[in-house]
Amino acid sequence: MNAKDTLIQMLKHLGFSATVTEQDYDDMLLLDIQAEDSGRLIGRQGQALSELQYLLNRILHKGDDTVPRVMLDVGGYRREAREQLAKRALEMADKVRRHGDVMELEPMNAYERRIVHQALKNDAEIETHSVEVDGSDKKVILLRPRRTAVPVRSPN
Amino acid sequence: MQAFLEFVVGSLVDEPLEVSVKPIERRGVTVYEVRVSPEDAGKVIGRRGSTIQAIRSLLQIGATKSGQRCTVDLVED
Repeated sequence: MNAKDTLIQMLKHLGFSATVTEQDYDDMLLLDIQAEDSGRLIGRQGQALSELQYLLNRILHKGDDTVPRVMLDVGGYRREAREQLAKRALEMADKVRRHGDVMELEPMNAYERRIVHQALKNDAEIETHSVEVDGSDKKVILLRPRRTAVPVRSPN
Repeated sequence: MQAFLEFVVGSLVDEPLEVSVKPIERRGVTVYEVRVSPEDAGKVIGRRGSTIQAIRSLLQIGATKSGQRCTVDLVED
C-alpha cells in the first residue's frame, strides 16, 4: 500500500474522512490532509500531527528504507508556519545587516533550523550557526555578519 | 478504534497473523489488549516507547472525536 492510501486508511479508522493531496518537497513526499475537524489532527503545537507522521513513517519504512520520508500537513498549517519562520529569519537578517550585531533565534528542532538555514543560505552578508542548548535537543541559531574573505592587507 | 489498532499494529510487525486486539470493558472504559509475537514487541514499542506512545495518542484523538473512552495495553505473556 502506498503512503497516501496508508494514511487515508489510518485516518478512516480514527473516524476522519479525509482527502489527501501529494506533492514532492525536497527529497520528501509531502502529504496534505483536508478533513473536517482537522484541528484535532494538528493537536497542541502540532503534537498530534507529529505523532501521525512518525507512525506513518514507521509503517512505510518497515522493510524498505528506499521509500521517501513523508512529511504531513493539515490544510497548509505547516506550510504557513514554515513561511512565517522563513520570513522572520529574513527580517532578522536585515537587522543584523543594519546594526552589525549578532542576533539569535529561539531554540528550534532540526526541521525548523533547516528552514532558517535554507532561507539565508544565499545571503552574501549573513551567516548562520546552530549552537547547542544545554539539556535540550534543540539548538539556537546565531545570525551574524559574514566574515569577509577579502585578504587583510599588511600595514605598511 | 479496534480497526485502527489492528491496521497499525499489523503494519508494524513482521508477523501480522500473530496480532490480536481484544477489547475489554472496565467501568465504562474500553481497554484494548494487544498481543503480538515476542519478536515483534520491540517494533510496537519503539525506541524509548515512541511508537506505542504515538499509537496511544492517536487512539485518544479518534476516541475523543467519537465520544469513547479507551486505553491500550500491550500484553506480554
